[in-house]
Amino acid sequence: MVPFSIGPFDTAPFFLMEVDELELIINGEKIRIPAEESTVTGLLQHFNLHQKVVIVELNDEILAKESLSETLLSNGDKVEIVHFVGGG
Amino acid sequence: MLKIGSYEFSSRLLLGTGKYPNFDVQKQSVEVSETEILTFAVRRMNIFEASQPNFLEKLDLKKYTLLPNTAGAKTAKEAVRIAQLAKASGLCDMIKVEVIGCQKTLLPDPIETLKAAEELVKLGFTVLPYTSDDVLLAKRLEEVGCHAIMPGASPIGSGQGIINPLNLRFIMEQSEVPVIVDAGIGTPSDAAIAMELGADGVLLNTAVSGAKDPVKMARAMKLAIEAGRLGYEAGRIEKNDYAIASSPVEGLSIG
Repeated sequence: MVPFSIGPFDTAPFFLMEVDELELIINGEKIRIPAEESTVTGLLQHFNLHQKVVIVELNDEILAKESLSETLLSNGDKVEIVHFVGGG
Repeated sequence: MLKIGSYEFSSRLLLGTGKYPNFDVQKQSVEVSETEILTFAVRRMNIFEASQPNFLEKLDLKKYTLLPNTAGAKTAKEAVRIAQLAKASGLCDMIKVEVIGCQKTLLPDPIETLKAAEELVKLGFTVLPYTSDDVLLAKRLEEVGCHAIMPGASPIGSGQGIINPLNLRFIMEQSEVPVIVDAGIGTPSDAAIAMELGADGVLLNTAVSGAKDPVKMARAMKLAIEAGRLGYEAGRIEKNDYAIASSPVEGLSIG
């Protein structure tokens, strides 16, 4: 977990102003995204994946497609983004 | 008609989508094969390469039923998770249960396969387990409610063809649900033999995608499966040790 808050009234010192970011673990990698992309749909749009057939798992819970736009992300969330690839 | 759960298909060829030289050849192979069921694997996406095309995007999904597999799973729990991920795509409820127990032979783990299959049936999936040619395991899989049984002809990708036709026939004879010979097919004649034995379908991938001319091989497989099926339905003649003349023996004008 990140030891500071990212709310609008945040009083973090100047050197921490980049806190307008969320740190997520996406497919096993630590990745920072702008905090305004705080829904799963926002995350997919950020990476230009929103038109693709993707399946998202958030903290080991598979998300229904309909819930992606309402599901909020928080710092430290573990996100898995998977898709179909060629296979037999 | 091939009936699997609530689905009906006129083609008896199930085609894998792995390891084609390129999308163009793959698309043509799929079209020429006239398959209606395509298998896929579920994998992590490279989110930094969203522009990378995906074969799925090149398909008219109204024409095909997707059969995702659980490849990569070593336990029933992992297989169930992959199946649930696949279903969450909203594109399919069929699942090929594939729980590999040995990385060298890629043979399925029978106990984990049975556990995963049972769980997935309870969760409402249309379940097609990839299994070895063990006759009793095939029976157990049917008893837990699997919608088809998919015994391997020989190890995955080996192209060795049908190495135990007797077991496959035993499975086909006992089974009330479709039996689809999956894995190990190398040539059209292998596929034809599977169908002549009484298989309801054949699932293959490498035999087509790895052929020198995959499009031509896709057509060959389609024809072989149709020929094998027709031969099975027509009913073969008995085998005899000695010759039985085809021409009449009466009315010879010589000697």
